[in-house]
Amino acid sequence: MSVVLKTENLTKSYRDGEITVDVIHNINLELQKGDFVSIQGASGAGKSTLLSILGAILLPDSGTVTVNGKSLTQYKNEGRLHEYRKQHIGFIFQNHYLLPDFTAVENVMMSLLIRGEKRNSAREKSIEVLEKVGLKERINHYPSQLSGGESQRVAVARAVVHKPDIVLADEPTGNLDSNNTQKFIRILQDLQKTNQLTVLVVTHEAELAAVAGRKYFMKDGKLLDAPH
Amino acid sequence: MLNFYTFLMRRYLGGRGNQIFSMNAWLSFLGVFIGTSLLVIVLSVFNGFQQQIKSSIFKFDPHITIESTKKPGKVEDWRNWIIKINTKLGNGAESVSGMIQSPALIRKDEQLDHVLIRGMEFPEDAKVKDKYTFPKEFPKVVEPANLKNFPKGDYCLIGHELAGILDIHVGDLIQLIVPKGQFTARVGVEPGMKTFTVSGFFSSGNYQYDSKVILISLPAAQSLYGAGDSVQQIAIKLKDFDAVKKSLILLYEVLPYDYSIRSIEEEHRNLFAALKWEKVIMTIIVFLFIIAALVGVIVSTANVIRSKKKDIGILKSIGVSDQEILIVFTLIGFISGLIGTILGVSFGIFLSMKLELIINGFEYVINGVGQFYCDNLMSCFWSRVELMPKDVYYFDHMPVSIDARFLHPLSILAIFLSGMAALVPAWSAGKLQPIDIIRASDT
Repeated sequence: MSVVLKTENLTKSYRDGEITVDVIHNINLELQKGDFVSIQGASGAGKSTLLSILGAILLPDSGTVTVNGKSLTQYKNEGRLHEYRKQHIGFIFQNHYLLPDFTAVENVMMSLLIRGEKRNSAREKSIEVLEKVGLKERINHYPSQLSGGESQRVAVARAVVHKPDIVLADEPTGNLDSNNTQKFIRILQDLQKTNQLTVLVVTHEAELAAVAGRKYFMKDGKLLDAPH
Repeated sequence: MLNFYTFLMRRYLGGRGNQIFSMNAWLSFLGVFIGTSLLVIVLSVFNGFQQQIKSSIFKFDPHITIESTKKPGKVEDWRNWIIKINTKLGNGAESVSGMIQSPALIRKDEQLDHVLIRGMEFPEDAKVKDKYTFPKEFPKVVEPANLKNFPKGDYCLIGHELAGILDIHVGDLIQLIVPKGQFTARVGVEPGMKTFTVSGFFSSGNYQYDSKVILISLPAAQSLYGAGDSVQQIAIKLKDFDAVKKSLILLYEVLPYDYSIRSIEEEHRNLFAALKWEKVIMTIIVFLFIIAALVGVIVSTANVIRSKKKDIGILKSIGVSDQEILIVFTLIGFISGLIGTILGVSFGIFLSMKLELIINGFEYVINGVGQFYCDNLMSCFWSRVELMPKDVYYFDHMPVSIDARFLHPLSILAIFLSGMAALVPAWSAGKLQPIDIIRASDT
């Protein structure tokens, strides 16, 4: 198995007046291709901050993040952080964050269009993935016409359609009821297995964490092995 | 990436479903539309105004006149001078001819009025003996409509407004009374009087001329004024009006000091000063129109960006770069400018073409309402309102000229500047940090 993502001594702190708060501290993590990893932890433990750094929407104070052998710092120094996100990452947020003016299929297509895919081909691939997440009949609906569960499934489709190196999911079931949570978990698991996706999910949800092959726990900004 | 840009732009300009354009896009077009249509109308009227001046006053008047200062009102060897001037000016001269122009009195039955007589050289009609044809740049003969020539001798053409004022018809006899010969202490100036037959009416488009000028042939004028073979002036018409200054320098080289050379700009000094001022004011107004349109583009693009802030955060989190965001929103401004300019210029051209009709319509409504108000409500006398009184302005119609030489660069400039105006908010959109937007959306 090849190493897809590796972090070394990753640290991020915020200043709150006179006090410096370490949000994440010396995080060392290694994800291999096809890994399904979960991180659990209380609110404020630093889970989302870690995910934001891995997704390059936030930068660490120190430490390194390497994806497929190329470090995040390199991308930053070249002024191409967007390329890092474009080439390696698929992001699923707690709130689905779909573009409200675009239909379900158009939201998914966007992931491919920004990567230079032709429109027709992008549409075909997007419909294919939307079918896999059970939204064949809803492809032309706008986010406002979709339920929370359906919107989150569109977000999954958008995150995986371009076959990223890593899918980062930040509390993806946080806003879903138990029925939709189960549906979501099943879909994510299927996609991960069939496409050999590397998935890192941050969650409160024990049920979602349970399906991961490797489980971590975060406390006070430190990454710990989850208790069995 | 082209697919991505067009995909995003179309939706942000067009909104959802079957809408062609969103309300915000329409507002954006509206700013540019109003700016450019006003620009076209004002420029067309301004151009028309200048062209009308050229084609009425300048067309009728010589561009340069030469008079003798040694013997005022008498240029004796004028035919020699014409040859010398023609040689000096070469191709630049449209015509060089002798002219007599002087104030006079006209008598028609019991009516007496003051007029200006212009005795000018008419070309001989090669087909009809004893008749003149009209020179190349000559006012339009409005009655008889198809008049191609007029007889030699004591015949005249008069302005159609003057004909109306004095109730003169074609074929009528009029008497022209002029100062004749030199001033003497014993009798002062002896008046000369002659009867002329009216051959037709002309219309120059200039009310001052049409109500005051009588045209006769140069030999008839020489006879009327008792000038022998001399003329009062040598009149020069140039092919290019803008070559007046250059031609003046050439003429100073050929003519001796006892001849005065006057250009049309000197003759109409006040008018030219007013035109120059008008140009300055126009430039400022045009500039303000463009600024107003650009502010509209900036505001509407900033509005789109504000309403799509969350979208920008999402797009950047999935890999869209700062530059790509900048391009999308700059293109939105550019497209707004393009559509607004196309619609604005088209509407401006349409309104310019119908401007006289619109002004007449306004005049009709104002007079209708005023008349009704006076007749039925106030029992007063309604004095008819004329928005463009002919006797005040130089023109008898609204002069409008749509000049593509102005419209093309201005349209391109408006479109280009719209894109540039959108660059400011688009740049700020490109700098938005996805983490800040996402956090703000979560709270």
